[in-house]
Amino acid sequence: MNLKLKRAAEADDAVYNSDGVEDDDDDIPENVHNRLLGAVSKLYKKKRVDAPTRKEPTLEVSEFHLTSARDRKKKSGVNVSSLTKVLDKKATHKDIKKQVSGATSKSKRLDKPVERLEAEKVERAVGYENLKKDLGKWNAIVHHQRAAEQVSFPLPKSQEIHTWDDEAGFLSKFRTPTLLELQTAEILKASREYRNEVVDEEKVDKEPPIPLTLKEMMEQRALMARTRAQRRYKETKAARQNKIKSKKFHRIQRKEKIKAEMKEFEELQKKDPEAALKKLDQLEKARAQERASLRHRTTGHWAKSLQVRAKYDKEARIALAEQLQKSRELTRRLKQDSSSDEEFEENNDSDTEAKPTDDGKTFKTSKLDFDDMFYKIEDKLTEKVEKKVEKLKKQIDSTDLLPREGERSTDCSPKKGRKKNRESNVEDDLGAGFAMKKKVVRSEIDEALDETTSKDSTVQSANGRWSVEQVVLPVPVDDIEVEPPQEKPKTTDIEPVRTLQVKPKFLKTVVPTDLAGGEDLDDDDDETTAANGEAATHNMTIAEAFADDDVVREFQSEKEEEIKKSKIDDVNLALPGWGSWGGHAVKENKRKKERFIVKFPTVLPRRDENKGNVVINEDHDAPVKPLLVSDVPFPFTSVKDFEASIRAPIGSTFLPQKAFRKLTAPTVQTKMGTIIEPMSGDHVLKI
Amino acid sequence: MKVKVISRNPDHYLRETRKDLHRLPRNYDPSLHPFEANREYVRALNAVKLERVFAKPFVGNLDGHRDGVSCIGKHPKSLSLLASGSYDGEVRLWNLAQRICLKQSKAHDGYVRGLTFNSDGTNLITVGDDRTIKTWNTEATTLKDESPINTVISKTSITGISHHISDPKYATCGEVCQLWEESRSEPIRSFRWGFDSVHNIAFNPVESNVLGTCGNDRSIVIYDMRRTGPVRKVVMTMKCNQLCWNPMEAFVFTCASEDFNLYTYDSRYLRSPIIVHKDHVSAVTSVDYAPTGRQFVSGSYDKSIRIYNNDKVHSHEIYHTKRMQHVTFVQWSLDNKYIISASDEMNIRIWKAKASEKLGVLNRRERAALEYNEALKKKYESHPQIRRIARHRQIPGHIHKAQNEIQVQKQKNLRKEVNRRQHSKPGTVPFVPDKQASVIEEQE
Repeated sequence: MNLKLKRAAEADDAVYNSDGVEDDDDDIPENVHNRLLGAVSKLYKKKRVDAPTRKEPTLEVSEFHLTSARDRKKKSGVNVSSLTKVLDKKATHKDIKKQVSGATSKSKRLDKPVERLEAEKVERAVGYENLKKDLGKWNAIVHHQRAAEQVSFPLPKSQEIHTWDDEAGFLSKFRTPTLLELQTAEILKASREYRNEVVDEEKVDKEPPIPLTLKEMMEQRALMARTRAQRRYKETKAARQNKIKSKKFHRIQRKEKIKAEMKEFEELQKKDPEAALKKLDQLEKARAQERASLRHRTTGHWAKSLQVRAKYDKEARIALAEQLQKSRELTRRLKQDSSSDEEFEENNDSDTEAKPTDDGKTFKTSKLDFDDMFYKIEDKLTEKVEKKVEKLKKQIDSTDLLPREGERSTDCSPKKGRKKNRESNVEDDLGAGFAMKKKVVRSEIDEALDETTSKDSTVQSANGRWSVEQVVLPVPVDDIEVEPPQEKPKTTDIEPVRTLQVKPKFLKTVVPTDLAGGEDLDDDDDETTAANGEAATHNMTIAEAFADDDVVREFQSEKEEEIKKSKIDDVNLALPGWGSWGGHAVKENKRKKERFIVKFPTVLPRRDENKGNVVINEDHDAPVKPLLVSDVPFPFTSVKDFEASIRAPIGSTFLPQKAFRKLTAPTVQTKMGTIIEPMSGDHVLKI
Repeated sequence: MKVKVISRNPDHYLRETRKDLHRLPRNYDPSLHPFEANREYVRALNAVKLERVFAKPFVGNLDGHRDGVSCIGKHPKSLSLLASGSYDGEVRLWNLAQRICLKQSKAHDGYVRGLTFNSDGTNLITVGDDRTIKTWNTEATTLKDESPINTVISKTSITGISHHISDPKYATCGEVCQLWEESRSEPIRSFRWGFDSVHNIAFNPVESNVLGTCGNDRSIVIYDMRRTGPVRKVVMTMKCNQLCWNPMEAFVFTCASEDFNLYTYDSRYLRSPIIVHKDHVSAVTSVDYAPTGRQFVSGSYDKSIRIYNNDKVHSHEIYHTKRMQHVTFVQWSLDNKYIISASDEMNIRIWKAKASEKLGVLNRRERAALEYNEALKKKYESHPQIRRIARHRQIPGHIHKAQNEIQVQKQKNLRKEVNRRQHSKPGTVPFVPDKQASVIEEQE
């Protein structure tokens, strides 16, 4: 196509040329001819777009108003190069020319603008990012509001800044003080409290500094030394007296004390009856306290008389034992208290005087030092314990270790009294650190024993607790130690009926069953043995009482019934005569019958399945079950927490008003008849 | 022997004045008040039963329109004023407290598509099918003052209107979204994304230069009014009918969809909604947030109104009456107390936002008792007996049937999907969560 056009143009040209040559003298006006030429050339050339001419202002930029580059080049022929031509002539313009030429050579043509759709897309993406950022600034307050325990609407406005338009409005806030106010203010100003000065009493005393003379100073020092010496003397005396063990001495001392007090009281009665009354009250209280504390144990008349009878009278023995037990409990606690008091006092002393203790250390030590001390003591204790245990073991091996009968329960000192306890001997000597350690060991042993010796229930109770003379030992001691824990399930299969029928062997021994744990059982006193004997007889009586009727069997059958009741029956879907001959004489096919029995799926095993003579009622809470929560509700993670939250009441029946109001406050509070406006900018600024 | 006698200080039990409260000493020793949990359980049970007994949410209705009510608008400054427009082009102004019509006028030919009060409530702006935007003075007291103070004839059709929270600007939607200034008769800006018309527009009340629209091409478009105009578009499986911004959470909006659900979006993450609110059994036509931003109300084509917590999937309340037809518009009053619904059968109904709430002034002890009951209900809400009573509602037969039907459909779809998954190459049938299933794409 293009070629064709070209050829046509050439042909035209040829014609024109030939015409020009041939009709040279035809006088056709030149301008007409030119127009024709233009028109013809236009026919065969690319269509050009005219440059726009602006007629009226408009915001719209149409694509039809654009011009092609070549067009512009031709028509508005203003180029940089043509402009710089002018500069050529002067040497001073050399630089400018250089710059221009450099710029033109370096400059690149701009990229074609992105298509409209793409451009809009980019713009939107940027806009969205900005919007996200704008919205993000509300994040904090929104989350704060969501998490808040209570929100009240309308939202509180941030503090408003008051501006007074007129001066009078501002001034109206003030008023002149009255005469009285002025006077009070003056008085107040004069006072020290008003000036907010710290009134130090020492300072006040020191305000008139009267210089002491040398003599006076000496006197003062002497006085102080004397009082110090006196105090020291009294302290040491008191300490010495406290250490005296003689009962008689203490009794006399107490009586003297009482006498002195009585005297004092009588004097007081004459002088100040009210104070005397108070004193009387105090005395009464002290006496009551002493009576209540049972400090007397066995020293009272009652106890002494009982002691005489105790040999023959069981009740008396029991009463005495009870009294002892009670007193032990009471005194133990008291002792702890007093010890702590002592410590406290010591601390106080050290605080005030920083008196060095016998170790040469002050009590004003850091926590770390205390810890060190504690560890040291513990180490010592463990060492001692080990030694003791070894010693005991040796004793056990070598000799028969019978309880020391000589030790009497009536011994007055609390320390010795506690020795009667099976385990307290060592504990007393060595302190609490050992007790803890021992406990841990014991618990392990307890488990092991349960596993291995559950064949006989009496063994468990006889496990060094109170039976010394009659210890049931179905298995040798060595076996207990060695026996592996794998045998545990075996014990569960034992029939309780048979186990009871087996006659236990009673050995006369005091060897504790839990030797491996390093326990000692060295001393037992009359109390415990008495109780032990009693328990043994008690056991015997039960066995004797139910010798004839088979209680255990009965219980077994009862349990079976219970299990049967709780079981859900299988369903028999077999139809007689279905698929086989039926009738009176026809025997049913056993296999077929079994095939039609739908067995109830096995549910969880009963909790008392292997528990022996125990029936556990699993349906005791059946009526409550539908009312209980099946799952832990959302904010709670554990059953324990949820239960605690339910258990805690919120009502005013159970709680004081303040707590009640706090717990029942609504999460969203609104004001009646008030418009709640949307959140605004000042809420963001507030947080 | 000292004998103790009872002696009391009169200060402890005598009142200073006759108007003082009687002092009632009380011993809070827990041993004196046993069975706390059990007693409170019974109280909670009673409270929840009483709540159901007193749940009478319907307050009253406003009748007067002679055709179905298409839209309502709440006054921004007055709790008692309400405007409504109907299918026959009538606009009415109501007093809610007295339940009377203050003004009425034939505003448009054809539907009244939308109406809104200006930011101070002096003017009411309505748009209709006749392509006009009319401004009415709400304060003129004469009943017969029927002419609008300003009328703008638009070049394009208009289907919705929303007013800026504080500035004298409003936005309309239709073929294009346009931003108008109250004093001008030409739109100051017009936005467009694609060629589908937009039927709902809503100004963000918090970040006030953000707009949201729902389009006929199943899209939700967010606009930034200041600079770029439209910034992001989400295309969903079904059309959204209305969009409402949360007045307390600037970036959260909820839209009522044709697919029976409501979708709550965070406008910063539009890929999928935060929550899909279910329960309606027909297209949801309208949604409005409570001014506290904690709840919203939705009206549906299934002739019911439901109330949702903004963070819960299921509604906690359903309102319906025998005579109420398709709900066209719902609004939550600005004091958080009432819900106003407009429906096809020409009535505007007023409901309590909390069904069992006692209206009017409460005395202190009464309020304390009610608060205690509320707290108890909250404490024991997970207990089955209490939950059962609290959740129990009577619903109309048609809704019940529809629910069952939807359940069957859902089961069927689920079964089919499982089957398809079982019988195809592993990984080819992906698990699509409920939230993402409703969104087709997010366009930039």
